[in-house]
This record gives sequence, C-alpha cells and structure tokens, in this order.
Amino acid sequence: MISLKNYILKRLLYLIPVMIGVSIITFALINLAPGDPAELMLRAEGMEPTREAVEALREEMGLNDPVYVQYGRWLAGVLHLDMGKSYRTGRPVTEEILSRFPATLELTVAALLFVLLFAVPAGILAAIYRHAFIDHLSRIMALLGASLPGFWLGLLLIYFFAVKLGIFPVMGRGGFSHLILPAVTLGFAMAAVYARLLRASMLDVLGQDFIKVARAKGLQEKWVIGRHALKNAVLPAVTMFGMSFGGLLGGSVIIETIFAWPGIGKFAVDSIFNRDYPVIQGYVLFMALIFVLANLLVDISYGLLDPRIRLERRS
Amino acid sequence: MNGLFSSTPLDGVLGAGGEKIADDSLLRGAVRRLAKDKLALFGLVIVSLVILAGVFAPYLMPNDPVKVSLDQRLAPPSGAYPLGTDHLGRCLLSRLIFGTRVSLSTAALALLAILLISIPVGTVAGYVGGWVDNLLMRLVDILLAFPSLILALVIAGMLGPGLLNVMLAVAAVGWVGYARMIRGLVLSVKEKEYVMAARASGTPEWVIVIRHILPNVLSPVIVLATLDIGSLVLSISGLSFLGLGAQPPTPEWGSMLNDGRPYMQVAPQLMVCPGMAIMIVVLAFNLLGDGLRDALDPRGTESG
Repeated sequence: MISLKNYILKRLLYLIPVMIGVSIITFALINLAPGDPAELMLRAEGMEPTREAVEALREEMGLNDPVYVQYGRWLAGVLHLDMGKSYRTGRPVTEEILSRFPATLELTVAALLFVLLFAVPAGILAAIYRHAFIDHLSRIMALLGASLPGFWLGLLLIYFFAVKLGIFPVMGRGGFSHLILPAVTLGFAMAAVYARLLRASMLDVLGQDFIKVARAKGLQEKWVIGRHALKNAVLPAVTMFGMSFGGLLGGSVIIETIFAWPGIGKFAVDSIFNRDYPVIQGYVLFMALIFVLANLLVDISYGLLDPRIRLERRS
Repeated sequence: MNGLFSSTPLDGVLGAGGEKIADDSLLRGAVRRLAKDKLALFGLVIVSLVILAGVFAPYLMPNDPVKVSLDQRLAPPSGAYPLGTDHLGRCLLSRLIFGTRVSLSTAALALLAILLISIPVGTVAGYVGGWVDNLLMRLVDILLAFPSLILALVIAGMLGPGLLNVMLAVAAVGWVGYARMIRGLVLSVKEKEYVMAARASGTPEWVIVIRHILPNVLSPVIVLATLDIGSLVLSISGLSFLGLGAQPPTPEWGSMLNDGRPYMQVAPQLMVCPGMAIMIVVLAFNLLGDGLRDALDPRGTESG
C-alpha cells in the first residue's frame, strides 16, 4: 500500500501549482469587467460616486497598488479563509458561500442518487436483454439525455408535475418533495449517459472468459451478473463519475436558478448580475477546489478498486 | 452530458495513435458505413433542414420576428400567427425560425474561435515540445481544473451580457480540450517517416508543419468539431437563458424560453417550442456525430 500512499502524496503536491494557477485566473477574471469596483461598491451602498469618494475608496481598497501587490494581498486573505466581504450583503464571502453550500450539496447528492438508481438497473437490464425493448428504450433515453437542455426539462417538469398535476411544490427548498424535481432535472442527462456506459462495459465483461467459467461451473445467473460481472463493469464508470461531477456542479447553477433553490449557484448568478466581485471570485475558487478534490478522490478510489492500476503507476 | 463540450463525438476518433483517418479508401468505407446508419442519416437530414431554415429565414418567416403588437399579446395560434404570439405580441414561429440563424451562427463562430486558438496552441505544444509544451499543457491543466460551465458563466458575466461575450466565454473555455487532442495528434504524426524524410532533406520547420503535419491532423479535427456544434448550441442557449447572452429584441431560443417562463400557465407553447427547437437541433447534431464517429472508426465495436 506504500505505493498508493506515495501516489496520493504526489497527486496532492501536484495540486499546489494547479491551485496557484487557478487562483491567478480567478483573480484576473475580475479585471475583465468594465467599470471601477470602488464606484460599483459606492453605488451598491446607495452613495453618490463622486470623484473624491471613489478615489478615497480606491485608496482604501488598495486598488491603486500594482496588480501583483493586490493579488498577493488577496491570496494571503484567501489562505486565511478571508475572501473579503460581499458588496451586496456586507457579510464575509466565506460565510455566504459556506452557509449556502449545504443546499447545493444536498441537490448534487440527490442528483447523484437519482443517477445511480436509474443508471445501474437500466444499464444492467439493457446489457442482459440486449436488442430487446428495454435496450432500445435506454438508447433513446441516452440520446435525449445528451440533447435535452436541462433548463427546459426543469420547466417542463414544473409545468406538468407542479402546475398541472400539483404533485410537487414549484420551487424553493424544503422537505423531500422539494428535492425530487430539481434532482431529477440535474441528474437526467448524466443518468442516461451512465446507463449506456454501464451497458457497454457490462457487455464487454460478459464476453470474457471468467464469466464463461463462472457459468460453466453452474453458478446461478444472478451471481454471475451481480458478483462477477458488475464488479468489473463498474470500473470505467467510476472515472466518468468524477468527470461528470464538474458537469453536475456547473449544471446546478442553472437548475438552482429555475427552482429558486437557495444554493451557491443561484447566489453566484445573482452576484454576477450585481457585479459583486468578491462573491464571484470566492465562488469560482471554491468550485474549482471542490472539483479538483473530487477528481482526486475519484483517481484514488480508482486505484483502490483496481490493483492493476496501482501496480502500473508504481513502475 | 449537458456540460460544455462533452466532446463525445471526438472520443475514439483519434484512431490508433492518431493514424491519419481520412485516407481515401477509409473515407469511402466511412461514407458507406454512414449511409447504412439510419439514425445518422436522419440527423444529417435534420441538420441540413435546420441550416437551410437559418439561411432562408427571411423568406420562411410569416411575420416580422421583432415587431411588437401590444394588442396581440399572448394570442393563441391562428392563421396569421401559426404558433401564437409572445408577451409583446411578436410572432412565435417567426422568432423561432430567425432563432435558428442566431443559434447556429453563434455556435459556428464560437467553434471557429475555438479552432483558431486550439490549433496553433496544440500544434506548437506538440511540435516544439520541451518547455513550451510543458508550459502550454500546464495552462491547459489549470483551465481544466474549473468546471467548464461555471468558468464560461463567470467570464460571460464579467464581460457583460451580449451574444458576442457569450461566444468569447464559451470559446475561452472550449479550446482547452481541443488543444490537448491536437497536441496528441501532432505528437504521433511528428514521428512518421515522411516527416523525418522531410526534415532530413532540409525542409524548413514551418513548411513541415504546414505541409506535412497540419493536413494530417486537421481533417479529423475539423470534421468532428463541426459535429460538436450540438453541445455549443446547448451551452450558448443555457447562458442566454440565464440572461447573459442575446439581449432583447434578438430572437434567441434560450432567452425566448426564459421570456416564456412567466406565461407557462396561459401560453405554455412559449416555453415548450423554443426548448423543443434546441433539443431537435442538438439531437440532430449528436446523431450525426455519433454516426460519423462510428463510421470513421471501423475497429469500433458496436456502441449501441
């Protein structure tokens, strides 16, 4: 297991330059924007942005310093979990983000659960009953999943299930019933793609010798599928899982906006329209960190699941 | 995946170590295989129809897509307005038809920008190698550390609302995957005998790149990038839906969908039709893309 530990350590060290790069880009993003942050901040506080007031605030915010000094100061703050205060609410950005993150996490995890509940049975069944009705159905679902705009699916679900049938609440966060429509919307595309992926790797595995051996020795089909085939078929899906996590995080922005879900995605969109720079920076940095860590976890679990990869990486 | 540039059509096309794919006999085989793929042909037909609709939009629209008639607000479908009107009394069908032009041209321009960035970057990284390659690929790694839609969203937001800015944002995020792929293709072509022969006979490096490397790299990239348009249409309309892209009165499907939202109960077609248009176009490009990928990859096992 020493090799795995080394591998994790190596990957963690590699994250340092990547995150430095991420922080530079995040900081630079703000300079894309037209307009003076000091002026925006004064306006946000309802004050007249006179030239003197703007100049005084620029000095106070350190906007007259060279860019690298500003970056250094910002980074030092970030490392102390201080990302400044929101122009809009006046509360610390870290607090704003962390207080909203549970809602986004809840939605993302619910979407992932939906993906698993849908994709695993659909993928297995489509592989077992290849070219049968269920296989064709899953292919159609996959095609739709890759082509349906998530925001449209969300609105259609609201229209049918909340407005017409009144089964689910239209928006907001609350109990389980509030969670279903947004989670299905967020997870649908991924679930459809996953089912196909799992089917393909199931078919691949089912054609291999050890499955024939398992069958030849008279093992019941449910054990052949459940114990031998599925375990090996899941592996390729794990990498996809990590890559899709970023898609889910990104997708949550739009889904949260549609369902008025009080997570960080919706907060970020509001902040973009209000030009609340510290929040935008904090949001981008936070999301990149989560994304990078999720990918790292996937890589590690991949190594844990498949000893062959561990050995390969050692050499 | 609904994410940006899921680049599904591009996977697997790299062939064995990026062999030149558009070989003559291979190409003929690919066309034959594509002709047998009914779904891909269906996609091709829809894509052609959509492009034609975009080109001939002015002749197909029953009404002026931006003409406001407040006395005709939210009118139901009728002879004059086949799909009814929106909250400002504008003809929905005309707006949908004109929207084809907006959506396809923005996606195409974003794709052009992506290729203009990724081809030089990928080629230089792959051909020059060394620290240049290292530097460029680290930049790629850093950009890949962001969830792409979030980065595009923030870039578009910082630049300010507008279709051009959305295109720039989508391109700024989208070139990364292409650059990495092109680099891989260049790396494999670089080691071919004909490149070595050219180098041995004293051909200048830039001539080698332009005459021997690029033609062998670009054909698969361009063919498949064209078919990646579906995911570009999705991303751009998603950003427009959030209010960052097309600004009124430009008829763009994503923003039309958002405009129709409040009238879901009285005029559901305002929300249903633009979404349907996006879905059909994206589906058609995806079908064609999948078919083309399978056709170009004769070793490919049955994929569905």
